[in-house]
Amino acid sequence: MAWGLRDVVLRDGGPRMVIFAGKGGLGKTTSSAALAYAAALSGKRVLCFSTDPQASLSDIFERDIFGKGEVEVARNLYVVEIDADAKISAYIAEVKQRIRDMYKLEEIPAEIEAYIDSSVAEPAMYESATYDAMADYLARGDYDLYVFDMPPFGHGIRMLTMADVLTSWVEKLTEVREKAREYDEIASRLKGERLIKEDEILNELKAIKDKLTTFTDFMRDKTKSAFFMVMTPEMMSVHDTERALQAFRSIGLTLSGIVLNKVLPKELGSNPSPYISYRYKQQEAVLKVIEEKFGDLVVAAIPMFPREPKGLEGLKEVAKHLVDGVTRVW
Amino acid sequence: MVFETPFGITMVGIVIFLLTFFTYSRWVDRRVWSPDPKRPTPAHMYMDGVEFFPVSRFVLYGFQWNSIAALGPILGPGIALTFGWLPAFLWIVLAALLIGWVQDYSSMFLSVRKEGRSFGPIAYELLGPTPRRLLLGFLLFYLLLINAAFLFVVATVVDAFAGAFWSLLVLVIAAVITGHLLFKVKMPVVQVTLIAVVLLAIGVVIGAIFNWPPPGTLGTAPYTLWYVPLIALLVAGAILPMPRLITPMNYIAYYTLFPAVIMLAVGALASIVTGVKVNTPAFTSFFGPFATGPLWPALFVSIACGAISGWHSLVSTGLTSKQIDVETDVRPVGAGAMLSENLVGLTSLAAWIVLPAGTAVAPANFPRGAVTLTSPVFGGAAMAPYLAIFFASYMVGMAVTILTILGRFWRVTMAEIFSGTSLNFLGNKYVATVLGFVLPVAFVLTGSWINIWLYFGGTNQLLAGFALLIVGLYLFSLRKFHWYSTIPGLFMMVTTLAAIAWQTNVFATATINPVIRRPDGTIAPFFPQQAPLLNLGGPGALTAINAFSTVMGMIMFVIGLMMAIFFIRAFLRYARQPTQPTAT
Amino acid sequence: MGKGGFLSSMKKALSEVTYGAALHGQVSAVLKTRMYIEHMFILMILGDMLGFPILPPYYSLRLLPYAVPNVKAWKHRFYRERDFTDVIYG
Repeated sequence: MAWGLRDVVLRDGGPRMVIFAGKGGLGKTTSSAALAYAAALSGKRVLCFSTDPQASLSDIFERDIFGKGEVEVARNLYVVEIDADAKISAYIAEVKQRIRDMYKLEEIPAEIEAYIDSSVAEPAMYESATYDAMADYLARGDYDLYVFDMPPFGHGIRMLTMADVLTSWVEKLTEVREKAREYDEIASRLKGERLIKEDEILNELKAIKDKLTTFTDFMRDKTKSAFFMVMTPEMMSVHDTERALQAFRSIGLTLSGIVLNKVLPKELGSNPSPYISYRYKQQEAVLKVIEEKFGDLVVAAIPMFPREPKGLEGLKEVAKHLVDGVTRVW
Repeated sequence: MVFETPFGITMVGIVIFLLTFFTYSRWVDRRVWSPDPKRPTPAHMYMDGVEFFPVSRFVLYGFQWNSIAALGPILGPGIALTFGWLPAFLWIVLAALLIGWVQDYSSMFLSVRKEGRSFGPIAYELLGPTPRRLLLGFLLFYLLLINAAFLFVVATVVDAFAGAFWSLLVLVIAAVITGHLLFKVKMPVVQVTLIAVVLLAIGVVIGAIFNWPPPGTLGTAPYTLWYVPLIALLVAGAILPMPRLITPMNYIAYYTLFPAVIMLAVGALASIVTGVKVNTPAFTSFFGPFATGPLWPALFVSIACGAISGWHSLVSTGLTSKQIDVETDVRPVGAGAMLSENLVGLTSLAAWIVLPAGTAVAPANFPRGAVTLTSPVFGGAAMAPYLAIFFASYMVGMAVTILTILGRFWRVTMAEIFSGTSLNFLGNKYVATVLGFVLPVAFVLTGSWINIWLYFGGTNQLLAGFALLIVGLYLFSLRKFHWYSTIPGLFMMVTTLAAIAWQTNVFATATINPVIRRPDGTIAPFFPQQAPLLNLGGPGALTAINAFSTVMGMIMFVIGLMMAIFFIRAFLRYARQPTQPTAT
Repeated sequence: MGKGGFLSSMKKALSEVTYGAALHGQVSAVLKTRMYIEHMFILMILGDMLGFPILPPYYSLRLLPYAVPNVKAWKHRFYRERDFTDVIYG
């Protein structure tokens, strides 16, 4: 069994979208950035998109990219860290402007304005805005490879299922609109008029649906996308990963592999410090469990670094393990 | 003498209708309601472009007239003839003067002043929750009875003129084609209309040629067999999406209604030239047969829509009041449409009274009278078979369009009442629709046309009484001149309660004595029309079906009586209040 | 107004009466069905204005501008007292 993601992700005709899922603090963002950098070095045009509200890509690349759109941090490597709050505010302003323009209003009716303003506070808005941005980039298709990380686990799953729910709602709404249009047409026929006005809502719904289906098409198609779970060799992480695998299976997604992060290197096993050697022994035991439970699913192991990997140099180091598989655990 | 031909009554009627419109209705309009063209109507206040929006008074007049013109004015006079044509004529004319338009116009104005609300919510506001519930329960019975009466009409007319069934089939096919051409092929409405009219004419010709099977060949209870295809058609109409069948069918049915009404009017007015004579006696006797009852109350519930009809108040407070542009339009629309309807009632009476004296009171005789009245003007004897099928199809078409609308209404209502309760299945689309037509058939099986019609007329006129009294109550609460509505309301209430009581008594008698023993020892059913049922199920079946009708009558009577008490209490309550009540 | 004016206004009145009798009821019934559909649409996108969240608000907002002219009528109908006397011709 080959270690490292190179053969899976960076080969010709490999997936165009890679998602790293897993709990916060396990190194998803670092893994995404490292894979993205390695892909950029191999000549692909790459977009690395962080949905994590903690602005960690800025930390990793050591520059402020939060809310700045696509930033080219290296040749062919573009990074986005979305400022969801700012996006929501801009979106709301756009909706209001639209209402004013469409109906030539000076002021939006009070109850409608109140409704719009109150919806800003909804927690779902935040998720939707992030998700929408993600789907947007994907639908535009400017890149050869998209690397996303998904913030704390529950949210990640919700994003995946949300796409399905939304698609079915949009289909329902479209059906309703088409029916409405049919009746409009009947009424104007009876009145001896011809209905020319197009239903703009239908176009709008089609745009939403296209965007959503691009995303779900990618997700469901194993040749177009790859999913990796990031975990650490600790029992807690084993349990979380098992649960996540079940959840993935229940929504019909196949996991491409598991990345083991923060693995204590072998030389620590002979470390004189009883504290460290005890930790190492414990890791050995957990690794056994992992091998039993997940076996071949584990495709890469990244050692625990003395310092957090930062900057392009740091990522190159991570990529050696993640992409080229220099560290093996069994 | 001028009354030897129907010309006389028609002319006198027209003069009185015109006088009513230009004098009394104008006086009431100014004195009581004082329309203000500047006061915004619900159509403007709640404009939504689909339900509330201002519509020209000509369009609304046409709509209102078409919605209230149904079978009522055609059939009622036939039964009223039991007492002679003069009482029927006097009732139509007096009702036109003092009662009919008062209800249509006033309930419309009331709804306009009450934000376009319909009957139920207004009753709730003025009378309270219990009367509203009573009223709604009452309306359900009312619907069943309309269905029963109209199903009966279609079945018996078709039994007498089997050709009308084949033209009905052509009507249905024409409706489907019309709908398809209009909405799928998207052909302009004028062209489609021409095609539809041609198809309708072909339907009449087919009916006249293919007048099969001849009456009486279908066994001992001939007309009952017609219910099977009829109910199948109605259920399909109630379940299919409106634009597939009901919308186009109601549209093209107008092209039968309109010429029929015009032809009857022309025939009646031309009778002075054509010499078609009035053949029925002017007056027979105050006491009709036991099943009909005495002139009062029977006459006043037998001629419904041509004189006054509760159905109209539902139309007035339904869509029309939501689309009145300015308050000054209420009178031309409400009173104008009703007075035109009175004319339809009068010309139908004309068609009945030219029949030979002693003709049986049966819906199927109307086409015969209509042919007698109109054929001298429209093509003579050669055209008579076609005219007969035309008028029979007109009756069948009117009944079927109303029945499809009611079937739909019944279904929606059942769903509203029973959804979410333990009787959920009753609200099911198919169960409700089928029940809405099968229950009325139980009524029809009583076999007596007169009794079904008088029950229907009783509830219909009682509803009119409610409407008049609600208007009276509202005006009274504002200390306005309310007697012009309250007095007719009281009259209708008392008369209809008496009529329902009489009919209940008739059915109760028939329950106790379902059969009569003849001197020769054989037995005959109390209602002669129940003979087939007697052969089929014996006296027990007759008792059951008559008991069903008795119970229905008792329920309606009790509801009516309770409503009367609520009205009296409400009047007394408003009498004690020094100022006008606040809306609840 | 001359004689031509009178004739043309008579013609207009007649065609309006014909339209009213033959078609207005049908058009109204169709419009009413259309309105129920529109209201279902508004309920789907604005449900949480009445306390039924249906569509995620982010996407509701995108459709909201189209629903603005109907919101008032929708609320009016939603809160209006109604019973089955409305169903016949209302």
